[in-house]
Amino acid sequence: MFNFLANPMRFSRLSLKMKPWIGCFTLCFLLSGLWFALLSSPADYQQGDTVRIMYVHVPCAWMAMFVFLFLATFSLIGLIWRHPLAYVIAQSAAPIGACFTLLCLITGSLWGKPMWGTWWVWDARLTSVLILFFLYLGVMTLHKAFDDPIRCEKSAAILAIFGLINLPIIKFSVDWWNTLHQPASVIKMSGPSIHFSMLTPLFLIAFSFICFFFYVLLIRIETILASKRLEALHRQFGKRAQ
Amino acid sequence: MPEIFEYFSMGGYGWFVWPCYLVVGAGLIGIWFQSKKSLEKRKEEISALEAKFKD
Repeated sequence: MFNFLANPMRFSRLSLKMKPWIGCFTLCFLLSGLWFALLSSPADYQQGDTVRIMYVHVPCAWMAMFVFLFLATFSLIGLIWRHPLAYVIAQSAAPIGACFTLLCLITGSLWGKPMWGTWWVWDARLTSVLILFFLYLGVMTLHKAFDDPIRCEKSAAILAIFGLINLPIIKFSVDWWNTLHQPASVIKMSGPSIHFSMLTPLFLIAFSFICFFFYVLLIRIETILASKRLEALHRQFGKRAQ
Repeated sequence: MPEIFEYFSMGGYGWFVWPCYLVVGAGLIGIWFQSKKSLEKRKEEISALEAKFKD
């Protein structure tokens, strides 16, 4: 399957078929999620309407961690099976993950000011998410750091795999240390402690972000495969000119 | 009309809620647009080079 998809033409054909469907799902989930988030769901009894920030902040945080796990998994596949498409997938996912992490930090800051009275605090949850953002930047930098592409791919993959340590730290930081950030209220052993009317927009927007991630991922994979084709054409053209 | 102002003020937190949605929207549209433009550019370059090959 992997070898089959490594051909840029085949991948482009598959991507062309899949993109409209994924795009449709993204829009449907997003529009219904926004309707519930901004119109239908109630204000929180303590936080008032600032709770509506949760419907974009929490899905961004979930995506920041999910994309890093995805990136590290494909980096590991690339290192073990040395499959070039695995590295291409990892390289394509990194900027999208970095974008979600940055959005999570900005929206968190905008939520923190009215609720905690400060834009930023150096506590465990916020700091570990900031480290995740720097890890993304590191992986993206390493993908272009050397002249040898294999060296770039391997060094970025190793950093991504080491960076996995940060994911449980982000998840459990609110339990392990004293922090201003609230503890987990959706993904926990005893089940969610949020009312259904608030869980609905949260999950709808999270699903739309997942679809959006795969939509943009397909475009970025196609771009990298096209760049490789372009390099091959330049080499061929150069040889012919000689 | 007062209901619309009341809705947009979000109980006095509108200055925090709306920028969140705007920033997320701008960020996601931005990365989608940049990715799309980059792919279109590569495809154009490939077509141009292939046409050059044929000549």
